[in-house]
Amino acid sequence: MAKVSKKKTNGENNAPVPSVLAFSRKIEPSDGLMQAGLWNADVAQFSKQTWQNIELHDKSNRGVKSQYGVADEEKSQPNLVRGDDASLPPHLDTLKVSFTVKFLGDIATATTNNEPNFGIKLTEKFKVYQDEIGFLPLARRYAYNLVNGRFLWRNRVGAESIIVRIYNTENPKQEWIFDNARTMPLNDFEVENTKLDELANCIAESFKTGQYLLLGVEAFVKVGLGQRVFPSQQMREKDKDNKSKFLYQIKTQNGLCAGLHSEKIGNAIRTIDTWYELPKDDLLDKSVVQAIAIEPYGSVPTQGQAYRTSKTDLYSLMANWLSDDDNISTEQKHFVVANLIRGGVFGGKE
Amino acid sequence: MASYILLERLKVENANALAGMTYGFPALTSFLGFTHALSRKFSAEFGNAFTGCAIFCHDYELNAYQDYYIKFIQNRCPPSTLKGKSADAKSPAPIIEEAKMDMTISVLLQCDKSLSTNLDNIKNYILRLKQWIYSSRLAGGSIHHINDIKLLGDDIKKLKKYILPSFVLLDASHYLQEHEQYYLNHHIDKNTFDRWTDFFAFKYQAIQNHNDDSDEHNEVLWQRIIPPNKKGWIVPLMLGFKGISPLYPPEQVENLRDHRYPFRFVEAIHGLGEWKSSHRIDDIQSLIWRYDCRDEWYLCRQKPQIQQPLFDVNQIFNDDEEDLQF
Repeated sequence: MAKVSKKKTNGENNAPVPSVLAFSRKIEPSDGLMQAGLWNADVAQFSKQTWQNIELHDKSNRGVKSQYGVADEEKSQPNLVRGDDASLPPHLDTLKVSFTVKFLGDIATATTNNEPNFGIKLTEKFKVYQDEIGFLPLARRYAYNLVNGRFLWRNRVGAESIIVRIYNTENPKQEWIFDNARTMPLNDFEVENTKLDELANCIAESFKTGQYLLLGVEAFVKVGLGQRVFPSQQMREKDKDNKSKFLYQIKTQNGLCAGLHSEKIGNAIRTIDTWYELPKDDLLDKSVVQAIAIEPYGSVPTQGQAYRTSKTDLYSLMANWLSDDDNISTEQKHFVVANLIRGGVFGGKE
Repeated sequence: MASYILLERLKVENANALAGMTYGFPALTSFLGFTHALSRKFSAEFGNAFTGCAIFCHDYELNAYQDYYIKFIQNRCPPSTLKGKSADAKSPAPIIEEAKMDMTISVLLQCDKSLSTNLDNIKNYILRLKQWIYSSRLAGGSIHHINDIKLLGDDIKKLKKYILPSFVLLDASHYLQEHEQYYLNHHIDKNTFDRWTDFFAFKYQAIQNHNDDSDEHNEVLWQRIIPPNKKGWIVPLMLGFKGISPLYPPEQVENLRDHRYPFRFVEAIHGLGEWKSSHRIDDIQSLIWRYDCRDEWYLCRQKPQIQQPLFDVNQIFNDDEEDLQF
């Protein structure tokens, strides 16, 4: 049965955000298709060759058990593993990863929100952000992650050279080609590049006007003849034959093809947060701040770390920004807006 | 006169594949919701509203695998809200069970009145529609490609030219009614749920062998129950909702998502659907799904003129039928 609710006044809810609050994502990548072909220094030649799908194959290995805590009698035993694997055919040396990514506007409008006052306040502050700062700083960082090939993840590691071609699907005249993606630093967003600025302007424009921008992205990665490539891994249990590793494949018109999950590409595109404070006991080199993905708590589960747990998390910053003092720095405003672009369920209390 | 708009081959990624207690295709309500959302924007700008839609499926891929029974492939996303301590932000991301699918579909929107034939207007329709479609979701999935948008009249041949090959979703709940009648006429005792699953479940029954020649009078034969539909691809389908509580004013219910509208608890309604190859259709009108809301019923129907009895959830598992009259 429905409970009769006590009418809440606004002062009573101490949560910095409404109890029901959600934003839809404003950067929508598609799954990435992984194909194989031959390297060519002339980009125009790439479009002329036929790229063949990379098909997954089974690999069975007789490994050893070397994890911590193995019983003594098992240390000499073999460890049989079966799983998917993907690599380029022996006569081809280039991996092509292609996907589309869509940028949308209307960033500060929540899809669900049960406190109209919060929405009004957010819209006001957001308007000020848009007028005074604009979306260019954020757009430039997003664009840079497309340009430097971060979305290739492990396929970027050890590649000889990478060419990234980005084009506007609605307007074939707009095309940007970056042939030195491999040498671009991943943690320095201040790289000067006119083509990058041009691309960033297009993205900022779509954030601002709400006119969608659908970009096609193609990355050509020279990894070497017959080298291994790294598609996304599927989360599922072992099958009947004890196969334990399944990689992602996409159905195409000419059979199945290895692929990258759209979530994985999206995570790479939003890896732009260099505005967090490093923990005090961190022994890392402080001169280079590693970019992390935009997350409300700065969570990086692979490192067992969350870089924004107190006072610098999304909710504290949002509360500060929307309060009358408005005392957060421009960089932290970027962080809040980037979270709205990321989207998600940000409800305050249960 | 064009009064239909065809959204040709939308590619939808990660749409929700669960509907009520069925899986494999998004709920009808999400397609009508999508139509409704477009309709509101379209009528505000051009004055035409959409009254319903037809659904064609070209291709689909369920993110699932079969290992004795179907399991859905899961993914992990770090949560954005934490109920406990902030230390949770460092722990591995939780797995939130979801059923996802990719699909290529076409949607035919029916307009309430004829559209303009002026070329500039048509261009404008298409431009705006594209903008709205790309910035909306369908069944929770993102639309990352649309082949084309076309304005059509009642000409079925022209429609087929664009949508073949595909399957169109039809309401097949009348089969259930016929099946019902069969059992009544033969005085066979079987509850509604079992009769519903007859259409798509794999069933065997034991038959006593009354062969006088054999000594064994008690020999039992197992026989497959042939589904009542000899032909056709019949699937269980969620058709909408039925209210199971009174309609509350918003201030009477705690933790509402939206305080502007009255609130009611509902349960899913199930019927039967049929996937029919699009080359065998001969009438556009009969393909269109519309809302059909009466009293506590919130339904999506294709032919509201056919009155079918509906069964209460509580009555499904006991056998005293009573027809619910509207």
